[in-house]
Amino acid sequence: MSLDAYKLFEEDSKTICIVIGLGLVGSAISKYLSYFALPLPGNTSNEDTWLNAERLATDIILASDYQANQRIELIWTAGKAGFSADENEMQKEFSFYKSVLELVQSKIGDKLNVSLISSAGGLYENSTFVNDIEDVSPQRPYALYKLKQENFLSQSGINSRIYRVSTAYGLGGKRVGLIRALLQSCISRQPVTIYASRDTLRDYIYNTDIARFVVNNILQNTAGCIHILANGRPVSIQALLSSVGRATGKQAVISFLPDDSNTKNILFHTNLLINQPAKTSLEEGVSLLYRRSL
Amino acid sequence: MSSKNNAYITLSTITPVYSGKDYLESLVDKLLLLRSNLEQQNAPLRLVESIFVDDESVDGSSELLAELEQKYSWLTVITLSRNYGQHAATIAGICHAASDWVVTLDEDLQHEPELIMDLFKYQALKKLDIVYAQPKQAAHGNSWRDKSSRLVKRLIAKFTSTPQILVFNSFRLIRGSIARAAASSSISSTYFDISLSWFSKSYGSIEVDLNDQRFIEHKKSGYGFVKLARHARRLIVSAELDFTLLGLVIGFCAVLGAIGIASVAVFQKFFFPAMVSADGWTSLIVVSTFFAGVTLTLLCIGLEYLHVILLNSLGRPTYFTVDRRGDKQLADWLNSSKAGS
Repeated sequence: MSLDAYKLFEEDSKTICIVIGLGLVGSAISKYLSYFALPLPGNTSNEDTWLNAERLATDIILASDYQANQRIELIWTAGKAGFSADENEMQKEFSFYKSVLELVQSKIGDKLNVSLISSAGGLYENSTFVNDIEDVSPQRPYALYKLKQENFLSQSGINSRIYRVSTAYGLGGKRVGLIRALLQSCISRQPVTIYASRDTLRDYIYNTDIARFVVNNILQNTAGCIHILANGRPVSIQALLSSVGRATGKQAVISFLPDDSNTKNILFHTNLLINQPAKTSLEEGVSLLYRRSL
Repeated sequence: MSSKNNAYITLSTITPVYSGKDYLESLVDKLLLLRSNLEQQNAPLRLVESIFVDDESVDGSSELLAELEQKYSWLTVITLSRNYGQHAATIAGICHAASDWVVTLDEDLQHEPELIMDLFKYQALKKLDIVYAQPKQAAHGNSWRDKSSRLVKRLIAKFTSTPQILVFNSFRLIRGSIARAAASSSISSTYFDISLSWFSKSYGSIEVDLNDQRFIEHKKSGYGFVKLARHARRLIVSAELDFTLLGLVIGFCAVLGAIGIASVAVFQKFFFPAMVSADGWTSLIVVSTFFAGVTLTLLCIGLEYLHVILLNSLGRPTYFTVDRRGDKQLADWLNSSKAGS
């Protein structure tokens, strides 16, 4: 389990930020955090800590140096199970997450703040058009356990900020999302199977935009809240393919295998996205990702 | 003035590197000084990263950059697979930057980092998206290079109705979102500053001391004639030449003129035949003018269609949105007495 630890550049320098999980979103948060904070030795890349709650909690507590600092910001982006994970996998992940937080909270106490990266796509899967943040409709185990993670955090007494992130894309992490897969297909001609239909609408958000919002909230030490992070400009898979084609000058090799569970549109009312900074457009994001992937 | 818990306005510098070994350490020292000064002044603006793009450097700059990257956590080195040129290297650097503002500067200390704050002050004063530095005196000691560069820019500016070409300079301050949008839209034949102009016309320039020390000391420029010619070609291809409209007008006028002359000639032939001095001459002129006009008109119409396709392939956007809400905070600080102290 990888983590990055930082100390914020403040006059009194008493805030430690620890990013748990350096995948697509975690790596972007870590990179953006490095603009405002000094990296601390505390980086662990030891796969043994995954599902080893005591070991991870110990690493976090050591990195936090909580007795010398006043605020410990934990940003939880970790997760191995994907959308199609089963009940058993999700239960293990949830137990691990819960145990780590309980152990860390027992030592650090009130100094602990947690930012949890959750999933808008999972929580609102059955909602088509979301105009109320409370209007969750999880269907699959992945989404149900994401909600359980949020509820645990809300009820734990820890000051928490929850980010329900729409379909993220960008550079970072081992998992290759749809957009990266399409770009790679353009370059390498490897076929990509899309389990949705051409007109399925999704709201894609660039991982740096997520990082910017999360880090700004940490810097401003905002109160606990639930946020939906989305671009506000949903596009169809067909439009996405066009953007990829324009960015690369080539066409991806694709086949469509629409899966009923993946063909529903998930859109968010812009009222839910106000007070968020301007987001990178998909056209620009795809081009940036293509150029950064080269 | 920001409180200690407010998010800062972030700045990245981008420096393409080709043969800068003699200057890189000094450049990094000066960037470090700027970074430290901003921290000490508790400025709302922070230099958060400096990106150096190794464009297949030829003088051992790669090894030096690797050492500097190890030494400074805020320094990032991107290595290109081969030499792609300054524009491509700048674009690559910008694509890797996530900051609110970007400054591009050369490797050879022609662009002093302490002048960056002057660019910001001008930006705040005029509320701009792009600020170019202009040399107070010829950067290369009044050489043929400066004169030829100015002449080429003047000609292209005139024929493309793009007056900002006159102020293009590789020492620029650019709003981050616009820089990234322009970088992501640029292809290999796009002149980066033309791409910038597709996203914002809010630009300006200030005169600062810019001296190419490498040229003055060693009489050696980073650019020879061939490279400068390629530069000019890229500029011409990216900018939009106004010839097609002029051609259309001339062609159409030629067709109308030919019809007019033909009408007069026919009238003369029937009613005043004695005035016709040489048979066939008028017909020749009319036919030549008419068909030249038609050819020119059709050619220019074809070029207009090509122009649309070219702009599309060059990446020119239909529109772009920008967020300038953070500018006031920086402007207030820059206008206060503490800025620059």
